[in-house]
Amino acid sequence: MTCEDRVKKLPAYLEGELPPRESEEFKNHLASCETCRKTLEDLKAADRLVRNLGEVEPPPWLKQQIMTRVREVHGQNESLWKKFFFPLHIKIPVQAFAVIVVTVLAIYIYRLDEPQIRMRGFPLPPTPAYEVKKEQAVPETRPSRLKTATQSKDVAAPQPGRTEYEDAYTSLAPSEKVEDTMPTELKRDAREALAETEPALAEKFQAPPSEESVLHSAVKEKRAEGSLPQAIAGAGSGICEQDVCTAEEREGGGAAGFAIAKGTAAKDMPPSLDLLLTVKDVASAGVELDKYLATAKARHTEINVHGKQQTFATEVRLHFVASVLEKLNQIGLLADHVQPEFGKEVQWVIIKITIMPAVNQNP
Amino acid sequence: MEAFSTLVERHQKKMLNVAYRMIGDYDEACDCVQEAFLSAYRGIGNFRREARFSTWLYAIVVNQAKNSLRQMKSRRGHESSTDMHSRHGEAPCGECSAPPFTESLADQWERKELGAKVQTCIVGLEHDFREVLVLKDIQDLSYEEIRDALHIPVGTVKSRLFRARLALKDCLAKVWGDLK
Repeated sequence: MTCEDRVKKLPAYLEGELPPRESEEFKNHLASCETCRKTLEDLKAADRLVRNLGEVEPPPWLKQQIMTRVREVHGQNESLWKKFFFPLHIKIPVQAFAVIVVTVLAIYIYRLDEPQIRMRGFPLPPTPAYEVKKEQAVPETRPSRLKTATQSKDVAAPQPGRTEYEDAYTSLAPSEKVEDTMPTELKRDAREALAETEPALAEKFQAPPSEESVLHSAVKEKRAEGSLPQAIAGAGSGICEQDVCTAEEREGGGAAGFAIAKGTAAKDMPPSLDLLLTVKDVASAGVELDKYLATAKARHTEINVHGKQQTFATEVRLHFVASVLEKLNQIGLLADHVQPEFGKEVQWVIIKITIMPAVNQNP
Repeated sequence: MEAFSTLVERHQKKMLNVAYRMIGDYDEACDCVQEAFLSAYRGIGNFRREARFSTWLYAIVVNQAKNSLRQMKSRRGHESSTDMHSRHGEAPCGECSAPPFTESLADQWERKELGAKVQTCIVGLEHDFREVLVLKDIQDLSYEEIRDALHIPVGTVKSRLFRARLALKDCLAKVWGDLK
């Protein structure tokens, strides 16, 4: 190994990185070779010089400048974050949630007020088909006020919104599908309104006759023929206009005690029962009877007050008739009547009750 | 942000010294350190915790110093590297720790001159040798730390270091004459 080769290995020798045998050989060679020894000393001196180099101090503004630039980068990143991520993570969910809340709230409020809107006779938009099906599945428990309102003369007068409804009805009627989706009450109201304003148009859009309309027309027909018994005429007063039924008819019906209507007109209409009830306090008896009829799920209940008398015209299911009679006996004195016989096909019975104040026998 | 400020405060001096010994220009070294810290901030997500933060930062500064030198060379294309070294080899006003109180002005001048010459020779080394020499002999990093910072085997680190020391000795012998 020449000195030139050994010089290349001197740094390793100084660092102690040579194998022990080679290191020993180096040691022996250095003792005898001045050139290599001088090179070794120069290496040590150079190493000392490098290690003795002082440290430079950072300028005072360096950290501040670094942090300024770092904040700039941070600001850019933040704005990018806001631009791209903030809307995705925060804004869009908030907006979606707001839309859902408003929608649910609107539906809830609409559902809450729907019965009141119907009762007040305001025009309603056509109900979707599935809503109508659901509604038809539930037994109809229409408040008595609705019928009174829709059939009274006050309502027959022009009302705000009625024209809109007529328009809507006119436009919807030709379509069978839309016609079918309209609630029964609305169809009837619309037909009546049309009959008053546009008779020709109303005839054009005749809907299939309902159970009530059949009864209504049958009573009118029979009355015109003069063949309708007084009891039936009285029973029919509950479903006809208030002023159509005369006092004689009512009294006649009451005097008859009861009658079961059977005949051509009664083919599709429920049989009726006419009752006379004498009580001490007509008003409280009326209230009690009204409440009971509601619990008995009576329908189409109409209450009329004539001086000291009250008349109830209602329809109850056949199996409730007995309980209604029992209740009437509890409330006051029920006039004698014959137990009626109803056919198996009968489901509903029209009951007309006249409540009269009892005459004081002992003044 | 506050944590990063603490890291800057803690490491800025070491990083500036590495950059200065690598580049040989104080102002360029300051710029290099700024860029290195910005790179570190941007890429802090890439920092793997098995290595020390300072080691990771050394790697960034060394790479940044290499880029700075390349840019400097392109800016001063026609200037010879020797001229550049002689111009930038002088110690900045902030260089060197406070001299001993007993040190005379002549000694101070001599020490400053000596430091400038050593710096000139360091900057004159090849980049691969220079970075190892600076990290080992000036920053006193272990072979393993240098391996982690430069991503080269320990054997390569040693080999480059020994060659760098010999080259530096030759350079200093040329500039200084007798090193004793």
